[in-house]
Amino acid sequence: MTRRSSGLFAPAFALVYGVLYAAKQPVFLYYPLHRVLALERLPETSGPGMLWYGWLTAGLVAGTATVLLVPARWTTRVPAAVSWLTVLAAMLLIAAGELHGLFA
Amino acid sequence: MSTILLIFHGLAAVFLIGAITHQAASLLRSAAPPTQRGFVQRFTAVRPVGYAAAILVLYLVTLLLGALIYPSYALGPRAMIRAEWPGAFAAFEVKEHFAALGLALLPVYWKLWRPPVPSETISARRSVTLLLALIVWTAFLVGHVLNNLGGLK
Repeated sequence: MTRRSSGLFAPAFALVYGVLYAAKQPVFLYYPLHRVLALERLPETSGPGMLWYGWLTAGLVAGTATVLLVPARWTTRVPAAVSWLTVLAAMLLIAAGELHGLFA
Repeated sequence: MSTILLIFHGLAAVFLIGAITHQAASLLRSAAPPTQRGFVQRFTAVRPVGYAAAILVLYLVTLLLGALIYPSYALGPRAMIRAEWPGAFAAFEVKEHFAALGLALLPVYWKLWRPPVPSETISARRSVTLLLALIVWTAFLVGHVLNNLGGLK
């Protein structure tokens, strides 16, 4: 059985989540007013569309796929610092984005 | 139903913030002689390994409950908060993204805390735990403030 390493889960998750956030690119949207999922934005009569679930799902899929597809021997030398630094970078990017939106 | 879920979300967050604060504080403590042991020393004098599984489960439960009540917020007070308190609105957006990114940290967090815990990974363990603690504290405080401003009814 192939050994799996979780070392690249956080970087893959944070990278995909951060890029999707920066691009404001929906993976799918959830419209709670009618409880429907949509792959693209619906008219305003559908109520507010929520991007967060799509980005969360995309991050999970990216992280899981990386763990499953990249052999552990390739990731054993990846220091744990890569995990928390990529997550911290995504957090700073998002905080800056929201602050920019606040003062724009 | 949203109110009940919000209460459980808040309770899980209280347990989580307590557990991760104990664990994070234990990583920052300086070894004080037994004669100088006060509240702070006793607060930090815990076995941090014993908290890891509880923190992992509590994080997942808190996030899941938050995800379940998020639509009620989007349909309810979100528009009002955005118009009246744009700073709080932005802080809540940040909190939701931070909470999602905290999920990304859980596998490496678990790997670093799973016994036996080698002493050579202390630096990574400290960094990951403190970042997770920062996320939990941010989410807790922002959520609390937003609820006071006019959260779910």
